[in-house]
Amino acid sequence: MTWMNLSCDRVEALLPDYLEGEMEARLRTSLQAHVADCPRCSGLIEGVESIVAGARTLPELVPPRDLWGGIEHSIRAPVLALAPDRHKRLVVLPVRAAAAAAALVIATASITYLMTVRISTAHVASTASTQAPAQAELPNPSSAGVLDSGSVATGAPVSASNPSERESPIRARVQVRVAGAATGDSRPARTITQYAGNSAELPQTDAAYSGEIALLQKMVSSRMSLLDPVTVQVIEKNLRVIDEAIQQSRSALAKDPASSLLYDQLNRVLDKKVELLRTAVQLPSST
Amino acid sequence: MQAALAMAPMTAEVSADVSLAAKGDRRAFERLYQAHVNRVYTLCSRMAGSTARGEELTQDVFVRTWEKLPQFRGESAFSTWLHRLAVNVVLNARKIDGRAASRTDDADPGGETRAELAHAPFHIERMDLQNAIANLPAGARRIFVLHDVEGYKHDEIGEMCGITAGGSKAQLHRARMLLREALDR
Repeated sequence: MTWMNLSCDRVEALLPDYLEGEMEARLRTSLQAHVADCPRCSGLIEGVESIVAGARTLPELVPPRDLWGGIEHSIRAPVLALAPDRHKRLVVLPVRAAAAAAALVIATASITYLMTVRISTAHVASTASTQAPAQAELPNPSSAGVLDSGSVATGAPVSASNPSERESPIRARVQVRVAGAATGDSRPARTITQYAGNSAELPQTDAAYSGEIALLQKMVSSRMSLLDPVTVQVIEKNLRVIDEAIQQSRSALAKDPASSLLYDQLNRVLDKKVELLRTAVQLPSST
Repeated sequence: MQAALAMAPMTAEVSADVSLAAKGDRRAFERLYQAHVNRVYTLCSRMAGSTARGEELTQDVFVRTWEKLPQFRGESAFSTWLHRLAVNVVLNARKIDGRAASRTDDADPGGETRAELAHAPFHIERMDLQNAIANLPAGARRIFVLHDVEGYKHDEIGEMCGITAGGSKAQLHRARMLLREALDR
């Protein structure tokens, strides 16, 4: 078999194929002949071969700390179901995710419900307190029975004084609660006065939402690296817009703490934030 | 050569834990984590060239594993499936870390990496080769780790990294030459 003369540069260029064993016999012989007479190239091949051999026997690394805590925290975080949206296709969740989602939906709904009742009750109390005596103005058990699905009871004293209040969802909900409570005993009056003019409800509302939002944000943060970068940018941009709206609502409420409109607005933007974060948590990974 | 993780047989215990974890059993999943964390951490740290990043990526890998486990059909060993998923998470993270990657892909690694590795809490001796691998440019390092350390073939690497097999081979050659130069110093 004959062989060709190879330069050192050519040998270096051929090295990958040589080491991979993907070189035709004649060329391999030529390369080996060159290497036999060339200390530089023989050193090169020897060095690379020792690197390859060393790479195969590198020891296993051990994490310097237990990583399970962070993982467990992430996998414990429930995946939330979004409200049905006719524009979105149905997403079927794994059973455990669906169960977790249901649990959190119930929890968040309860929080929102309680906050709504408290905030709203304060407004009704304010209204009721101007109509002495408060207890006498409350609907009696029989009139409470006509209240249905959040609608305003016709002739209910609390709302009858101001028809425009019937248009407010908050007011409507409050009246249902007041009427429902009135079916019991004298406690309704206490319930009303308990929150009357209590502007301290706002921090409680914020705290409830903050806890929910903090949990969701933690979940989203842990998933950011799994999402498409463009999606991450959109989420972050939308969160900034919502945060600005929240800030504006809070500023306005600070100036007009009795405004039900502003409470409602703040609730809505906080709900928006929760909804966006829920969506982000549910997004499929890009891997 | 193929990575030990990818070739590990699927024992009955692992199989049972995979099945339980897929149904939401966190304790079973923790056992899987304990059995595989070192391998995953090793892969992530070497591919990322940073133990700190390796920790983050390891956590991402196991969170992703938890999410994807119900889709595991047992067509390959769990360890093989996990290994491939880990590689994908690391490669995908590279896209997220786009700016950092572009900084290190074609340039010599900065002093920051070296400084970090000088204090890296590896539980082994600070091997020259290991440090030299960590100091490779990101693109060359990933290919070197996948091929020479983990045992993937060029066509597999090309598929995973979105490059040709020839591109993988060229990057590997570049990595080996850079390593030799670094180790000769």
